[in-house]
Amino acid sequence: MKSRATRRGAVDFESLYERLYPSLFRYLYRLTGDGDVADDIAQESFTRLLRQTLTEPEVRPWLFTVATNLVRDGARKTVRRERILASIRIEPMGPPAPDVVAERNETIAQVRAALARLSDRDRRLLLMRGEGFSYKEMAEAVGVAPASIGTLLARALRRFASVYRQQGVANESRR
Amino acid sequence: MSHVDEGLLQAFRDGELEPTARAAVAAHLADCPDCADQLRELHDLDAFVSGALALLDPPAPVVAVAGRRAGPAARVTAGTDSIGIGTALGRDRSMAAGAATRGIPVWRGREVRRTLLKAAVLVVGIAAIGSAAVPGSPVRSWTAAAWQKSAGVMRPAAQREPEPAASPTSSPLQAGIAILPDAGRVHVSVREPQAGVQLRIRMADGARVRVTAVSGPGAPRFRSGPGHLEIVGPGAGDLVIDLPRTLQNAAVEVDGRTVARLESGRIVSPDRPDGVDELTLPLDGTDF
Repeated sequence: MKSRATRRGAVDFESLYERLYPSLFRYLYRLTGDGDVADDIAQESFTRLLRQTLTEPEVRPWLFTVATNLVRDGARKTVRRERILASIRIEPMGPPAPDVVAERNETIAQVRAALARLSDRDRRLLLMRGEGFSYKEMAEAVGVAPASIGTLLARALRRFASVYRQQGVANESRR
Repeated sequence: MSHVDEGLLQAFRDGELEPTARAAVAAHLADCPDCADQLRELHDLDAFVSGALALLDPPAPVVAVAGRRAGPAARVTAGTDSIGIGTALGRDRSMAAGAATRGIPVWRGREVRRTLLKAAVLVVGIAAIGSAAVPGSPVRSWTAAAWQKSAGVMRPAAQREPEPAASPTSSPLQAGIAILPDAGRVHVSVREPQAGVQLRIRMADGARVRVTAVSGPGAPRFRSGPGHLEIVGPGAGDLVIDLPRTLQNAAVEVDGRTVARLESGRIVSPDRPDGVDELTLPLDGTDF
C-alpha cells in the first residue's frame, strides 16, 4: 500500500514541512523577491496540502506547482492594486544608498528581469533544479516526459545566460 | 562519429542517466574532444546561471546555529558577537519563527501531535488499569514485572550496578553554524586553531554554508556577518565546511592566509589547482 502524505501515520507531515519549507521558501523568494509573500504562499501551499491525498513522491512537485500558481494569482492581484496605488504613491525619503548597495541591487534586478523574460516552463525548471529536483519530479511538475528534461534544461540555461548577458551589455552602454 | 545530444550531456552532468547509458556517454566523452568541450561548456554555463540565481536568495546572515553534546546537557555559550546555542544542526526554524513574529499562521504540528500523544497515553493507561484488575490477565503479570523492576530502581545506591562515570571528553562537543551567502558570496575564516585540527571543505547540496566543529573540551566561537563566518579557536578534531554547489564565490582562510577558494563550482587550493569536490587540510605545521 502506498503511503499517503496527508494520511495520519503514513508520512510525518511535520517532517515533510521541516524538510520542504526552506526549499519552497527559497524557490518562492527567488520567484517573487518578497520574503513576506514567499512565506505567505509557502504557508498557504502547505495548508492546501493538508486537504490532499498524495503519495510521498508526489508531494514536492505538487507543492511547488501549487505555490507557482499562487504566485501567478497573486501577481495578477498585485498589478491591479499597484495601478490604484500609483497615483498616491509617496517616494521614500532618506539618504541615497551607498554605491555598493546600489550596484548589488542593480545586479539583482538584472537577474530578476532575465528570469522574468523566460517562459514560465524555463523559469520553473531552472528554479526547481536549484532546489535539487530530480528530472522525474520536474517532468511531473511541468507536464513533460522525463527524457526531455535534459534538453529543456540545457536550453533554459542558455536562454537565461543569453538574456542576462544582453541586459548587462545594455546597462553598460547606457552609462 | 556521431556526437552526444546536448540533453543527454546535461542529464549525464546531472547524474540522471541509467548506469548503461552513463557508461556509454562516458566512453564517448573519452574519445570525443568536441563532446568533452560541450560538457565543459555546460558546466560553466550551469555555474554562471547558478551563481546569478543565488543572488536572489534572501539576505539573512544567520539562519541556524547549533551547539550540542551527545550527553543530556547541551553546551551554551553566548556573547555580544559570538554564538553557540540552538537546536540540532540542519533544522532551520528561523523562517517559520519570522513568520510567527509577523503574525502569519504557522504550522503547529508539534503541538497537535503532543496533544494526541497525551490523549493516547491517557486511554492506554485507563485500559491497562482496567485489564490489570482482571485475575489471570497478561496485563496483570506485566504490571507485576514492571513493579518488581521499579522496586529494583529504589534499592540503595550501594546495591546498584556501577554506572560508567560521565567524562567531559567522552562525548565531544559538536557545534555548528549555517549562514546564507550574501549575493552569492561567502567568506569563511578560521582563527587560532589548536594543533591537530583537520579542516575538511566539501561541496554540498542546499543553499547554506554550514560549518561543523567537533572539538575537544574547548568550544569554538562563531562570529558572523552578511556572507561572512569566523570560527575562533576550534579544538583538536574535524572542522567541516560545507559549501553549496550554487555558490558564486567563496574563500576559506586560516589565520589570514587563504587556503581554498571556489572556482567554477570546484574547490581550488595551492596543492589542488585543478579543483576537487572535497579537500582535507591539517591545520598544524602546514605551510599553505
